[in-house]
Amino acid sequence: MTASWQRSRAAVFFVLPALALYLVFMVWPFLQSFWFATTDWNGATATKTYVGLANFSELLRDDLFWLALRNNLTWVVIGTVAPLVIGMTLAMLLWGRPRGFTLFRTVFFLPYVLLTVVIGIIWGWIYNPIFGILNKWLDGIGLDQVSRGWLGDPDTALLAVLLAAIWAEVGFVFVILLAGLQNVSRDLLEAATIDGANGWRRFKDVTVPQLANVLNVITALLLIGGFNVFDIIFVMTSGGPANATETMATMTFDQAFTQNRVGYASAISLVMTAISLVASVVFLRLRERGEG
Amino acid sequence: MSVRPSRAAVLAAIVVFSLMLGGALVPSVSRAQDGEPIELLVWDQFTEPAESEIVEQIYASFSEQNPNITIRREAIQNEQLRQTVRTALASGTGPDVIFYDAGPGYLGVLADAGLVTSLEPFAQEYGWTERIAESARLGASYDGQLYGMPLQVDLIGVYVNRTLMDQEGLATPTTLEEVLTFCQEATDKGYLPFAFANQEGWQSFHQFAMTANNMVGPEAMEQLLFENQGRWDSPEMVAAIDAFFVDMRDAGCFSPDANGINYDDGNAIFYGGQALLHATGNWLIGEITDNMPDYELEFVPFPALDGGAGRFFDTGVGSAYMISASSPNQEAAAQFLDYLFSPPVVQRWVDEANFVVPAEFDLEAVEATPLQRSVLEELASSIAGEERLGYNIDVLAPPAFNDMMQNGFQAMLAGDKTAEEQAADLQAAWEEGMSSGTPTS
Repeated sequence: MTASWQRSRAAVFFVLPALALYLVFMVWPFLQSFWFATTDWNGATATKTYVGLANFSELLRDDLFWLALRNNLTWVVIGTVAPLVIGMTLAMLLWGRPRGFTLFRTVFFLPYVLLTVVIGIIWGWIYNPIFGILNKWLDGIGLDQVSRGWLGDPDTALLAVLLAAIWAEVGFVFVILLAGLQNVSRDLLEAATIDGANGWRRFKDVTVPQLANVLNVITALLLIGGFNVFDIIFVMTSGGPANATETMATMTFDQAFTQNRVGYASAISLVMTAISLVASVVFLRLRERGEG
Repeated sequence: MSVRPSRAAVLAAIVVFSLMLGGALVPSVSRAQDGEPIELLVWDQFTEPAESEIVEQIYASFSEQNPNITIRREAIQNEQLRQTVRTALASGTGPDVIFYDAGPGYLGVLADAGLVTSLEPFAQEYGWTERIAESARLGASYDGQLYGMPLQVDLIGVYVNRTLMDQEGLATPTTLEEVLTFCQEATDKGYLPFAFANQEGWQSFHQFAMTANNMVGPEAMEQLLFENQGRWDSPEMVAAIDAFFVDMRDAGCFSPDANGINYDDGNAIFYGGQALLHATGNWLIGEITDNMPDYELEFVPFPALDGGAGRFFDTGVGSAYMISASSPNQEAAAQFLDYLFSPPVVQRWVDEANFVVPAEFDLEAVEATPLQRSVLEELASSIAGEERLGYNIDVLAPPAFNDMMQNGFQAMLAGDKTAEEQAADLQAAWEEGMSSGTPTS
């Protein structure tokens, strides 16, 4: 018996518990959801009637699903671009370690360590039409016509929740980008400066390319998060008012646990997985091509 | 350096794992037999500390009287219970007794799947049929079989801040026309007429239940809910929807931001004396009593609608005790339920927990505020068949219908939907729900 085989065996021994958990709680339920999606199972009965692709064809005709998908796409676009832009701006401002660096870094990162429930409660208070600080502020500056129940108005609810999510997400993006900036070559920037490149050109053509890998990872995570968003919406609006903040994930939850339609919910969750997978792969391929 | 677990350690792990597996497969308690120790796993929803303490005491007193039966209680919040109960019961290792929602979307689903047992034989054996009010038994039944023992019934009506109303010289409105005038007067005096908040969406269920019952009357509502005779898109129902969600909205009877205010904040408006009326259920009496010690309060039925059947309080069963079909301790579980609904314990529920149990109790012996007493008297007279109550709709409706109420009424409050559209959508949702079986019949 060789030493390398013994090492491998020990490695397998230590990996097995985690692998078992992964198989039981991730892989097996994922595979099962393919089966559930072809049944009309309500989550309780012992028998599951096979319905073929009926759940998927119903999905295509379900207005609520298209509304949820549209909300997801809004979330993906704004919820990806805004944290990236704000996080990058903040990281650039703090890159040179200005005075108060530690304080600002802590303040900007703080929202990210808060629990989603806490974020939901805080922003619920901010938006509250009775005592919320946002309406008080708007009233104070003479914009009382704009004041409203932000989470209760179907026209503003999604953006209001999205703003809370962006506030929480920016800290994460900022810290990762700030760490990435530490590896950006100062020599290259100085060379570009000597060559006459202005600030924007230095940022676009020198800094950003060196952050490509970091940006790829962050963007992919935000994209996937945008398609799967659930917790903050569940806490703040539960998909309401009038389905205005419904996303594929909240719809899946509602169908499975309120409407007792586990089969249909499985179909939605599979479509959601497929969409986020395709979007992530396409994004990464485009990035690779761009780099090539 | 290679890391290699010792053979002894691997063997020990296998032995421990085998013992654990064996322990999981062998039932921890044997089948109910006289004198044999039995452990009943009970899941309930009493997570509020004061309530929980009383529940603990009542369960403990059962074990004192039945030393061979131990109650292992797990209090789980309603939302979590709804997510886990089906899997837990289907696994066969879930609770023996469960206190769970009684509606067709909850109890009905469990009963339909054979996960909870019919209580009919026990009802005969223990005489529950005589002890529990018929309307409450109906609310905890499915396909004509009793599956749950209803511990609490709700009464929905309108709280009136009598003190402030008298102070401002305002009379309690008894018709919709009076309501609209009252709303104008109350607003002029700087008050919010109704403390209506609808961020969660379920609050609108109760407003609709009140206007719908007042419009068509309890008999027609019973026909519609239990026999599927009638329609939700009838002109009467459209008028009932219109009354609250259009007429009262446009008259400024509640905040234009009601969709953005949650239930607790709505209650706080009423407690603080900013609103004069609050249309909700008797479950709030304890909090109102605690938070409004300086105010005199009344609980009245919702105002009558033009061309309607009158004014009615509405009632419904919230949650009920059920027995798991796979429990090996069904006799002991039934014994436990019988204890919970025995006359002395019913008196304790009413006295100590302020629950309105749909069974006979000594009203005179209950220590209650005038407000609490008025609610208890109302329910007692309904249990005795002296007064007709309307039906709380959502606890008897299928999930698709409740979903349409929730989102549709929010859309109406936002001005995005008409009463006719909502009525048509409710009828469609009802038909969709009915296609999978009537709730109780």
